Amino acid sequence: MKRIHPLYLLLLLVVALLYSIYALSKEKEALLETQQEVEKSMELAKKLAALKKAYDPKQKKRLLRMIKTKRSLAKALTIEEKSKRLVIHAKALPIADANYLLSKVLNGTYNITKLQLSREKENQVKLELEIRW
Amino acid sequence: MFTKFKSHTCKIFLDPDVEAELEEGLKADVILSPALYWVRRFSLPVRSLKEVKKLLPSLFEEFLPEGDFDYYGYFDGDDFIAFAFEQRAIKKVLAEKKIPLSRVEGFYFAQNEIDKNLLPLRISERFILSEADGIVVRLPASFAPTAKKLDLKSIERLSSHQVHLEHFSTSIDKKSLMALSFVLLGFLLLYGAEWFRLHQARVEAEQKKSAIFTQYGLLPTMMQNRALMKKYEKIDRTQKRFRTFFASVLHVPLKKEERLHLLSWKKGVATLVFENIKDAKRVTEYFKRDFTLRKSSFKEHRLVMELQI
Repeated sequence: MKRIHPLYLLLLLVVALLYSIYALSKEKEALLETQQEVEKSMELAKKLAALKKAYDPKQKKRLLRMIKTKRSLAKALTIEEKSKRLVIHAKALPIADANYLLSKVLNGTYNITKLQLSREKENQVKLELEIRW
Repeated sequence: MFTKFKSHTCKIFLDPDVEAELEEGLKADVILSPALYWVRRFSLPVRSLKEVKKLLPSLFEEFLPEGDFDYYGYFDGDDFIAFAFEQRAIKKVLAEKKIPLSRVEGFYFAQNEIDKNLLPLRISERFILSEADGIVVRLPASFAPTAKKLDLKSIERLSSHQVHLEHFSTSIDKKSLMALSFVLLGFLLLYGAEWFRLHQARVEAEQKKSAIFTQYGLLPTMMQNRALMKKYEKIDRTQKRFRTFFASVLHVPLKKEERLHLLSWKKGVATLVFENIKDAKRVTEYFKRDFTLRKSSFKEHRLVMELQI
């Protein structure tokens, strides 16, 4: 120890202190960044989970079950079921059934990609509805 | 296995008036001449070396000239042998003899290294080493003209009473330096502890982030999740807009005989066909409030509109 200049030791301590200040500020920045990432991840995860749940493909089954429960509706509709979409046709759908179906579909979170409604007779409509998942 | 260590040190007797030379490549064990230190034998009531060391400056006080002295001592039976030496004076003599301090292994006192039975011994033309009351002293050669020459090779083994000189001198005194070092060390420890605390907090935050990914079944990277989110947000925006449009269609102000014949919606574009319309402007203005009218035609009371939703 006597062969090392004491001022060198002091300098070493000063350098170590400066480095520790630098490392501390870097660590603070990294922690802040990670905390922000956690908050963002949480926010995104909650939003994404809510949207996923809203546009869940399981809703297809729910919709089909609802159609089947109303006999007149089931009878008037032609349903084309594909892997990620559902196409519902009706050439002459009674207005009451059309109202019932559209109120269910529009009040639910379905991804409607196509809707065509035209009045054929006074109390009947032609319908084409496409929903995707 | 039985490696032989070749000695790379030689012994040098250091005295301002004795020539000394250090061979190239060798290191030196320096035996200090009595001319370079003060020695006293004390009979002390204390037996603790630590306590005696504290007393040394005061024990020598009345004997030493003005200067910056270092002290060394040890118990020899009931007595305490104490040495006082001035580093600056020794360094000066070393410099005169052109012996670098970096090549000195250690400093010894002639008092401890010279066999008193061999005294007197001649160290130069002008001086001899002699003994007075058990103390090795330097005297003029005239005191023992027939004294034999000091042969350092006859000293087979040096004692354990070795001292070291400081290689560097600083303008700051040792106590201040130590205090400053402790303050710096204290800060270093504080910063270290704070760094460790922050690091732990970061590790915990990372774990929390991973837990969120698992809990909500997210995709492996944030980029994939953001892309998925964008897709869902676009769907959601479009669907909300479509439902707003549909609500507008349901509340369109139509007169008794006026009616909606067709509603078509695909890829954000809606087509509406009204029949028996008398005032087309009323209907188009109603939709233009919230949507962009792309095209419209009004012929024979039939209003066709194409809207951007």
